[in-house]
Amino acid sequence: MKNLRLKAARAGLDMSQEDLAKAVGVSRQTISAIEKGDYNPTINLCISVCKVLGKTLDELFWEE
Amino acid sequence: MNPYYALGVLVGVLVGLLLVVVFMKAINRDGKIKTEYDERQKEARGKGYMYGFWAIIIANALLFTFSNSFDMTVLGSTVYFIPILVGVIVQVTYCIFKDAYIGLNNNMTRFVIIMSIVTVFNLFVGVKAYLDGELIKQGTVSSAFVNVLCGGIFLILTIELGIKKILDSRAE
Repeated sequence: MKNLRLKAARAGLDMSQEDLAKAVGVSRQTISAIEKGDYNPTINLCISVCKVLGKTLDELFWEE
Repeated sequence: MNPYYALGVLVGVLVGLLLVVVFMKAINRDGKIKTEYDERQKEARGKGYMYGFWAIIIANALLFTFSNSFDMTVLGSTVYFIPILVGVIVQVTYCIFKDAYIGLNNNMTRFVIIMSIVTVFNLFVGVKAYLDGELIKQGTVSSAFVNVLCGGIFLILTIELGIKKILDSRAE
């Protein structure tokens, strides 16, 4: 399932996939894979992404 | 074993290891020898190693099966390299197309340059041996044939990296 909330939060901060990738220490392709729903990140990576984007785990990764 | 031959092998291995260290430091932006990968890349590389392992098993089984049907004396001891090379191709190809071959601290340009140098060097050794009539001696391929195989593989991998870059640029 695509993670549009992550994409929206990133775009809201005017960050590219490359910017977010560098901030959390992963490759751009990994951020792309998370947004496309092709990769299920570990909790550690989820937390890093949330900290950089200023969001909670629920806001970005909790599926209703 | 001839002591001079053993010494030559030892020196060859040490020079090879030294070159690997120099190349690894050269391709990494931070000057480290170890290439860093993120969690998704590590997972993909693990699967790549699994497919590479099974490719080696299958290639060995096929080689064993067909060695009874075909005369492979022309390949000599280089026949043992074939399953290894098949495994390497499978593992690296999988990693390239899963974005898990180029690490976080790799410099792509330097990486491709070094791959190209290794390709040209290996193919040069093979072509020179062929032109000198030394690629096949007494009905068996010489060790230069391993250089041809390695050069061919590095060429394939360099082309695959180029294809992946084109596919990525189209997808963006």
